[in-house]
Amino acid sequence: MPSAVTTLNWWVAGTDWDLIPLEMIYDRPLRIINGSPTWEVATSLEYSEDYKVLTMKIREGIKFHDGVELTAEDVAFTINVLANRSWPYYHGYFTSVDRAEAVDKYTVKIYFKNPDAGFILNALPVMNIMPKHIWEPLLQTYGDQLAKYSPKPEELVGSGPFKFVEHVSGQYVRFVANKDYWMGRPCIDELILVIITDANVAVLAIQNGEVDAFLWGVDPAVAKTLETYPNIKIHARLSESFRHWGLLTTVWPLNISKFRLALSYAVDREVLVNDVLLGYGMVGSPGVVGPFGYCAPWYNPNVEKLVYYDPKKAAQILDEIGFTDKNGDGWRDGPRGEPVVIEIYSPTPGYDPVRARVAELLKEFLANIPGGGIKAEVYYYEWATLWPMIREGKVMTWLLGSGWSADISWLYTRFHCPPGGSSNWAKYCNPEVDKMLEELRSSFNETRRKELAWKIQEILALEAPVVNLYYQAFPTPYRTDKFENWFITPSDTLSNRINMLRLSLKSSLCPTPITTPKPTPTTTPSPTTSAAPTTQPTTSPTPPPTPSSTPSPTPTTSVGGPDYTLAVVAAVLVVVVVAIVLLVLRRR
Amino acid sequence: MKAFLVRRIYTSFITFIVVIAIVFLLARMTGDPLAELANDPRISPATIAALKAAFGLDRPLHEQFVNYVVNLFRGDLGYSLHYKAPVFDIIMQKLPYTLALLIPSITLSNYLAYTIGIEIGWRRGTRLDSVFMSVSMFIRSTPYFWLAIIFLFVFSVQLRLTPIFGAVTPGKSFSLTWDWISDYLWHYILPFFVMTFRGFLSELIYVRNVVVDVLGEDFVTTAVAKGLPEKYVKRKYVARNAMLPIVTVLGMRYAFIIDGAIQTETVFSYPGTGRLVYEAIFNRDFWLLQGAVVILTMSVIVVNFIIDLLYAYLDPRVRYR
Repeated sequence: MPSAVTTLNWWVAGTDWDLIPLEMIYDRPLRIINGSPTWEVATSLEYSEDYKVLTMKIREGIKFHDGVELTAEDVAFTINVLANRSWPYYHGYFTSVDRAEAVDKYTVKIYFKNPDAGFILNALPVMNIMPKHIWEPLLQTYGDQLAKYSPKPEELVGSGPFKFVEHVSGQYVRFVANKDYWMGRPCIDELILVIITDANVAVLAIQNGEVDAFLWGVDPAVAKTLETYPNIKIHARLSESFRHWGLLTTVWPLNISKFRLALSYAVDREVLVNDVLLGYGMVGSPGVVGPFGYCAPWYNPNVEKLVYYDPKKAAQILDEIGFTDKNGDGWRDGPRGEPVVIEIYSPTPGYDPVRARVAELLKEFLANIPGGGIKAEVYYYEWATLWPMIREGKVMTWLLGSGWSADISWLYTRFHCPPGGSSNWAKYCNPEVDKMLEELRSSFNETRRKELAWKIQEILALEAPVVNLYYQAFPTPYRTDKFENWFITPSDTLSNRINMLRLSLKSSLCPTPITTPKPTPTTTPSPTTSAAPTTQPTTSPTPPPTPSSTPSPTPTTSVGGPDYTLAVVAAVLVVVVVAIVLLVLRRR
Repeated sequence: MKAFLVRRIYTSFITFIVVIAIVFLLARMTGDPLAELANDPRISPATIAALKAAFGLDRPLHEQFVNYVVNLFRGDLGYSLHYKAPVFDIIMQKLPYTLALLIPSITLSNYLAYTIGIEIGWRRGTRLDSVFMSVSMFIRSTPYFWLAIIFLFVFSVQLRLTPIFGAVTPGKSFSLTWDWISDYLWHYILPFFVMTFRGFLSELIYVRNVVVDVLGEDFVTTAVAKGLPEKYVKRKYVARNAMLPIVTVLGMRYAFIIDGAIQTETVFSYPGTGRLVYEAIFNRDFWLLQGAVVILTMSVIVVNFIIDLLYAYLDPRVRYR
C-alpha cells in the first residue's frame, strides 16, 4: 500500500487504505464478484408486496473472532446505525431505510420509508456486519462522537477470514487466518499489508520479491517494463468510474446539444487509451455506462453505433447548426459570426499527468475538425482550486473521473436536473430523462429498468452532457513464483481491488499471497440461486510460502538488464562529474 | 539575566500566538477539507454535513479559533480529520522514530562538519580543500531523493545488505528485546547513513567558509606573527571566533526535527513526523497540521532560546549586554 492506514473505525473509514484492511476482518450480507452479486452471510432476500419490507435470512453458525455468534441482532444493529446516524460514510445508501429489526435469531426485517430499487445492490454488498456486543456500548458512551473514535485492537472483531493482530502506524497491518472461518479457513496463515511510500522503491521491492503484490496501480510505463520480468504479471484493473470531459450545459455554445454532439464525434478515444494510458484502459462508451463491472448488466452496446469517432460527421453537424468559418481565419465561428473558444480546465500535470495530456489532445482533436477547427484553450489549475469551480459551474469544460455505484440508479445523481442530481456538475436538464431516472429509482421491474437504462444511455450519447472519454485501468503487478491460483477476472471485466481481496476469502482453498490475497473462482451468479456452501476445500494447490528466493542479484540476467545498467550509469555519472569538478578546480 | 529571560519568554509567547493564528487561517484558506467527498457516489450530502458538525467545521471561524486556543492551553490538540483520532496520539506514535533517527544523525553530522570544516578551512586552497569542496558541492546540489534511492539501490537491492523499507521487519515477532533492537538497527542504518552523509557534506561548506572568513582577520595574522603554534591558533583563535555563526546554523537544524526528513521517510518508508505533516497538508487535515506546527514552533522557540544561552556562554560580549 502506498499510504498509511488512517483509521480502522469502519463507520468513518473512507480511503481504500482503510477499507482494504477492514475487509479482511468483516463479512457482508452479499458481495459483488466480477460484477455479479453473490450470497455471503445472507441466504435469502424477499420483498413484501409493496416493497416496503425486506426480509433477509442469514446463515446459521457464523462466529465472530471472539466466539460470539453472528446473529440477526448484529445485522439489524449495523443497518440501524447506518440508517439513523448520518456520519457513517455509507449512510448515503441507507437513507431510504426506516429501521431494521431482528425477528428471530436468523431473520432480519428491514422497513423502508419509501421503496428503494437500488438498495439490495448498493447497500448490502458494501455493508460490513459489525458485532453489536462491541459497538453498541461504544455507541452509547460516545454517541455521535463515535465519528472521532479509533478502536482498540481488541475491538476490531469481525467474522471474516482474517483476525486482526496489529497495526503499526505507518508501517504495516498484520492479520492471521481465522481457522474457524465458516467457509473453511484461508490457506495462508498470515497476511501482512505493508506500506511503501515511494513508488520507485515499491517497484524495487516487488522485483526483489520482498512483496508479492501491489494494491495500487503503478505508472503505465513502469508496468510495461515489469511485464518483461518472468515472475511478475500485471493485472490491469479497470476502475469503477468513467473519465469524462464535462461540458457546462448552461453556457453558449455548450447549451446547444448538437454542438456537444459534434464535440463527441470529434474525439478519438482510441488515441487517448493507446497513447496516454499506454493501453491500460478502455474506450469510453458515449452512453457513459461501461461494459464491465457493476455496469455490465446495464450496458447498451448500441450507443457505440450512434456516436463514434468521425470528424467528418462532426464537421457536418457543425455546418448544419451554422458553426462555420465566416472570417476565413481557419477557425469556426458562431452562426452570427461570434468567436468560439472552448476552455478546457485540467488539473496540473504534477497532480494528474494523464488528464493534463488528455486536455492537450482534446485541443488537437477540435483543431483537426475538417473545414475549420474549433479553437480551444487549455487551463491548468491546482486541483484543490479547480474542484470547487467545477462544482459551482464556474468553468466551461473540465476533465473529471466519477465513480458509480453497483445499482444503475446512480445515473440519477449524475444526470437528473439539480438539485435532485446532486453531482450533476454539467447542470444537465432534460425533463424526459428526469422522468426516466425517477422511474429507474422506484421501479422494481428488472426488464423495465433495463429498458430505461438503455434508453437513457442513447439519450446521453446523443445529447452529450459529458463526453465520456475512457475507463482507466490501473496496472497492478503481482508475483507468480511464490503463490499460484491468482483469481484475475478477465481484463475486460472489471474486478476492483476490494473484490479481489474479498474473493480470496470466499475460497476455501489456499490462494493467498502476503500482500494481496487473490481468490479462487467460486462465483455464484445471482442472488436468486442459493449459494451452496461454496466449494469444499479440495487439495491445497499452494505449497507453504517458501522463504523468498536466495539472494540472487536480479530476478533474471536475461531481462534483468535495466537494473545493472542503471547502477553502472549512475556510477559512471558520479565519477565523471567528480572528475570534471576536480579538473576545473585544479586549473584555477 | 533575569530581565533577559523574562523578555525572551514574553516575546516567545507573542511569536507563538501569532504563528498559531497564521497557521489557523492559512490552513483554512486551502479550502474545504471534505470537498473531495462530494463526487464520491457513496457519500450523501447529509454525511458531509454530519462530519462537519462532528469536527466543528460548521461553526463560525472566530469561534473555531477561540475554541482551538482554549483547548490548546488545556493541552488538547484536537482531533485529526483524516485519522479520526487525537492529534497528540498520532504525533506521539511517530515522534520517537523521528527523534531517534534525527538527533543522532544531526549531532554526528554537525560534529563531523565542525571538526573537518575547521581543518579544511585552515588548509584552504590545498588539494584536500578542493576535493572536499567539490564533493560537498556535488552532494549539496544532488536531489536528496535521488541520492537516497541510489544508496537504497546499491545497498538494499544489489548487495542486499539492508532492508528496502520500514523501521522493523513487518509482522516479525521478537522473543528478546535484543532481537528487536538488532532488527531496528538493521533498518536504521541506511537512512541514518544517508542523512548523516548528506547533512555533513552540506554543512561542511558553510563551516569551512566561516573559518576562511575568520582566517582573514587581523588578530589571526597577529597570532601567527607572534609565533604561536599552529595548533594553538587554530583552536583558540580561529575555532572560537568561528563558533558563533556555526552554532546558529548547525543548532537550528535541531529545531526543525519535527519537520522531519520527509524525503528520507518517503524513500525508506520510514515512519515519522515528516510524512505526517506532508500528508496533513495534502489532505487538508487542519488539526493535524496545526498540532504539528504548534510543536514545531515550540521547538524552534526552545532551540533558539538554548542557542541564545549558548551565545551568552560562548561570547562574553553577549553576556553583558
